[in-house]
Amino acid sequence: MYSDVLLFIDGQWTKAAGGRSIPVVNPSTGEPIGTVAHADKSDLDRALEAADKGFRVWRKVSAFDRSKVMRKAADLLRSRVDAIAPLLTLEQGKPLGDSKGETLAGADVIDWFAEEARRAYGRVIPARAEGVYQLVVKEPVGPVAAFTPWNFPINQVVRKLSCALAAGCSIIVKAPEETPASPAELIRCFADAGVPAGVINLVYGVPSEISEYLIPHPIIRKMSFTGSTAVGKQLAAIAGAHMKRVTMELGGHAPSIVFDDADIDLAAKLLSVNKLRNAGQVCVSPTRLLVQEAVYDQFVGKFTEGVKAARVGDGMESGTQMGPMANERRISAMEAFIGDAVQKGASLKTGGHRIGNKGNYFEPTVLTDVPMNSRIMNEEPFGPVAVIAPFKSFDDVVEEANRLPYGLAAYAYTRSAKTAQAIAASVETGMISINHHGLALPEVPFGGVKDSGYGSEGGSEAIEAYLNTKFVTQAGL
Amino acid sequence: MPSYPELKLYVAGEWRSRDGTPVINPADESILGTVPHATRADLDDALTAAEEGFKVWRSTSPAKRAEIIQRAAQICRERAGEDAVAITLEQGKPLAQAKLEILRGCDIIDWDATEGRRVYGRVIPSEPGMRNTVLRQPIGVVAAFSPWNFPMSSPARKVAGALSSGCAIILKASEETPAGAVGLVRAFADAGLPPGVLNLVFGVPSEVSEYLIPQPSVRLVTFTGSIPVGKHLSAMAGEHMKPAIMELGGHAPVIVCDDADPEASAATSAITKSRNSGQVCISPTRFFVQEAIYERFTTAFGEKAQTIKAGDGLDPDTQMGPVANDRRLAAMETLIADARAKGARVVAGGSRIGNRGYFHELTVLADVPDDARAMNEEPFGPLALLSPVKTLDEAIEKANSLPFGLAAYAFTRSARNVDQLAERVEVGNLSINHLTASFAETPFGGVKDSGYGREGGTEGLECYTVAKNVSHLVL
Repeated sequence: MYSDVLLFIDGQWTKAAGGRSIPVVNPSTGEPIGTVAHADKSDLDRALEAADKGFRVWRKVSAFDRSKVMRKAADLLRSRVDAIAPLLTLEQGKPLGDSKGETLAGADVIDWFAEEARRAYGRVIPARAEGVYQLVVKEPVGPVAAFTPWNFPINQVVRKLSCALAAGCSIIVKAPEETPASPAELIRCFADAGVPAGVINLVYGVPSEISEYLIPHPIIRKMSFTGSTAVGKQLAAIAGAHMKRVTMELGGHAPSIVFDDADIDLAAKLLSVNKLRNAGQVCVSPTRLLVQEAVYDQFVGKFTEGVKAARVGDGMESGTQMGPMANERRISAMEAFIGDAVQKGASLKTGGHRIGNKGNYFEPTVLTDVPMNSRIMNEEPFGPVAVIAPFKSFDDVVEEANRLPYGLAAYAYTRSAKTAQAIAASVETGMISINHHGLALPEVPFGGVKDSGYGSEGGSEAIEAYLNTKFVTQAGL
Repeated sequence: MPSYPELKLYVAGEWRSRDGTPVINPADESILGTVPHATRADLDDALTAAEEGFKVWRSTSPAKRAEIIQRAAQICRERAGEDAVAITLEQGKPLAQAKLEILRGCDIIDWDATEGRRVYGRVIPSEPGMRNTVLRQPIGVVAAFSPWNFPMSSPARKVAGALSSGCAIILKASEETPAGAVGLVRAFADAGLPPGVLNLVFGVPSEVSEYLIPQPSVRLVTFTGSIPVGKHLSAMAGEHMKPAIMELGGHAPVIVCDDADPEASAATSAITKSRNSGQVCISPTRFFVQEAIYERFTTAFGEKAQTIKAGDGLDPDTQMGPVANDRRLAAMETLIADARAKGARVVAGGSRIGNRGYFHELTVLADVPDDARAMNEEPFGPLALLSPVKTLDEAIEKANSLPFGLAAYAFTRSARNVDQLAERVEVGNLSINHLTASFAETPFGGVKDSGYGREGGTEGLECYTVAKNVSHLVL
């Protein structure tokens, strides 16, 4: 059922001009399951030309009509969930239920932005003289270049794509080569819904070559990237050198704070489930678990039980709660993190090893009493390894939460209104979820501060990044 | 002899004297004073002070912040007379324009101060027991870089934006026109701003920016200046994951349709062109005039331009001062010679005035071909370029042909033309039938190579804040 993935340029599904392709591997088996077309420069030139043409067409389509086409795409995506979700699981590894959830959530994102299109309000500013009209109008910024990662193959594309389309922009999506089929199917829904040729273009290839070619190109007016902080900084520098507007959704290292007045059962349950979601390969994954001393032992016990109970296996098998990691590189990264932490004095409560020798499976792992100078307390783990450390006071935990250059997500558990308000105000983060995991809904802002990037991909903020503000002042003569 | 103030750095709430470079009066090339250059230790002190200042200022209530900021604006107004003299001495613009710049700067400060009390978060509808809120919090320490053409109002925008949002700021103002910023900062100090919240430094611009931007505590870069420098700084900001506000150059087109009054539009254009000797990023520069009224417009423009009196800005009769420095003078001469060689005709001006001070005639060139350098590079001087067009379509196409997109202007009585212009001209600011591109309460900024981010309007404080989504399940 997994077929070779093509490029989508100017309304046509096409092989790469040079005929090259890249193998796609199932991380559950290590077996190749298909190929993805590898664009060369002439394909990119055609995509640029198409995006330029597509922009001129799409910006003239009324917001009302854009919204209708988008909602139709959302309905198609919903109706195809049973065909698309298995592709996602085969190429990425997550359990089938999660793949269905991601696909359906994608449809909700499209619906949200379809309606935001009709709310891209300008305004009238009171003038200083009679006969003067002062208007602020919002216009689409122009063709967008978007670069998305493999951890949420549909979700990462759909936010950028829907936002661009809602604003009236055209887009070139460089989707992940490791998980190409599900984003291609997402884009097929838009094409089938009637988005005109050239408005959406999809390419794959060597990521750095494509970004270095597209971002400086005069046709491209904005770039949006989701991925690592290191790559994000390189791309933001290129965008800056060419004065292109930027949205950056980068890595995090979410402090997850459990105060001694919290519901410990709830905290242990939600944090263990969310830690293992997508095998921990989530930028908002709860990574630094910081637990107040009085409840530390209790929490560690319950959390570890929760982690041990998780069933690891092939995402296609029913009952699987955690699939494999996306690739071999993640396995060696986990082994290095764990070795370093243990050597520096952390204790391994459970897990710690690769499972078997076929597929990229790794045991759900809990490390406790992890010293602050261990690598895993400083670098984003991006895997199923939970690190837990105790803290004494409110001030101590705020200091630890803000110690790293990241600032994407944070979590806190407390029953105190005062503590909830104070922790929300004090943590340097773009998002904080208290007593639950409620981030990334379409209607709430999604984005980071500090090295986690800037710009937002949800809520009423998101469309701003795809709009130019034009001030028009007119005197009647 | 009118007095020029002593120039100092302002770091951690104290004024510091340092060795530096001379400040030149562009009207007579005399030395006015020495602008102190910050040492590395001064910059480190400014960073530490700003970090500490940020902690104090972010926990000061918005109402209290507004009170201090508005008091500073009031002090600036009271001192506008003497501060304007300093600006005219260092920058050259006529005294009345210097005073107007200060008063306009004060209006901007007042607007931002009162916007600071309106940095609204919001509550997002969600299920019972769930509180989904968005807080807007100050982004942190701001590194600001301001240019020489508006010594007071350009830094005022940045200082007011940062302080009104609850941020601390390190301002590196222009070394060529430092007194405007010194006067501004003195007003804030005298208004009771806590130490460290606002710091003023000077130095070698590239060294200061390359040191400050990568510092971990600096969270936002704001720059007004040229496109090449803007691209360099925004690349650096990107490399260190700092958002940026970039207010860069422009090359403003003025589209004069054949239903407009050629004489009236030409006269107002000549006056606006002469403002600050054309050294304004939104200065009207490329005039695309429909053929039916092209000759009348050209004649009227030339006639009006010749009446504008150039001279020392302190002379009350002066309408246009010198250009800022000898580099601008040389640029003007090169651009005019190039345009003439390619077929442009001189309608007014064309030459340097005298040989002491950097005076240049308000120059009007007609029939300027598209390939003249001046048609493609921002002249940043008293140079108007006139060119006939057949249709509105042709004019809009030419207006959009450059990578710039800051301001544009048009004259027309037709509602249909207005609609076409508003829809199609690629700029951040479009003025129709008048030539004022921005007010405190309207958003100012560019598109394409002219940058991004907005100063002023309800947009003005956005870049200085970060959104935080707080999702709270109440237990």
